[in-house]
Amino acid sequence: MFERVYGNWNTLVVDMVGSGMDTLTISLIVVGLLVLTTAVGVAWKAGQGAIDKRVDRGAIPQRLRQQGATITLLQISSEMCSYCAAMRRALGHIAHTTPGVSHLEIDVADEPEIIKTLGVTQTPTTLLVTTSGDIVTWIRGASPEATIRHTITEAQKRLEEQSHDWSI
Amino acid sequence: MTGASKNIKIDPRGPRFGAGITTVVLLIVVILALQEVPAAGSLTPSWWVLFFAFAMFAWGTILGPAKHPYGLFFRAVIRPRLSAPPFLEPEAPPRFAQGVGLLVSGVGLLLHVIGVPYGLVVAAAAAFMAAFLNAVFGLCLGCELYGVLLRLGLVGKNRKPAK
Repeated sequence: MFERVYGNWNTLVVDMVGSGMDTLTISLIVVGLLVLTTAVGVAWKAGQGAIDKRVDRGAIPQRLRQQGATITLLQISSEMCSYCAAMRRALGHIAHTTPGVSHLEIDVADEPEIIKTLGVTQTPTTLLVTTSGDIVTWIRGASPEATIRHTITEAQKRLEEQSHDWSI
Repeated sequence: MTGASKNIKIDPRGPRFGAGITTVVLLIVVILALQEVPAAGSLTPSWWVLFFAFAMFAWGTILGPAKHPYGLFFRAVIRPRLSAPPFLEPEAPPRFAQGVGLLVSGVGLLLHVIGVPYGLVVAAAAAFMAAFLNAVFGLCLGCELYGVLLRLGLVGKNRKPAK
């Protein structure tokens, strides 16, 4: 009885979809698949390394800041991450070659409360943190080293201007 | 995934090379499968090529990308011709990606055997997209999916206990 049901189902399926596709249709499907996949890739890549000059005052506790650093590059990574290792390399190199800048990496699993409060949604997310625990810039996703350096310089300028505002 | 995976570091270009080969293999599966009359249950050429991809994913998941045939070929033939990698990555993410590929290709093989029309094509196309995105853009789709599951509290150290 099972064979009869199975056989009928098989016949039904073959009747529905016909005796196979012609070359043109197959080509269109394959090309469509390639175009769609490329579009997804390009869109994703375009969203990487977004710089957000968003300020979060006092958001980062002492334990997540480097002593003596004007700016701590706080990298939030996860275990399964497309570009965390690449970002680690870039940020580490920048911290190594720029006075006053330090790199600190944490896992999303280590600080769930802070991650949730801030609303971190992707890894890597790099936060530029000042000595007083303020976040002054967000870098969402992976970014080339040159762009990161430019972002740090810009943030340092902004901080300098603010400190001048306070002087008598 | 064992803790050791975090400590094993690999040249990140190895898995991308492997993903490139997988991309081609899976595209062949899609093209073959589209040409076949969907005969439920019979093991067609496309099924066998997908089975090959499935076996490769199994190898990568169980033994890791470093001991994978593609990885071994990369180290022996390709890597000597390249400059040193700028950094190494833990093997956990590419290994996890292999696991996702294993699951998707396995589903495709199963759907074909039980007679779901074009089940194999759709699964192979999905796996193709993931492999292509990895090879060309360095995007690890499984990793991004893992991130979503993390935020939902379904995986990771802080996952919500089962009720």
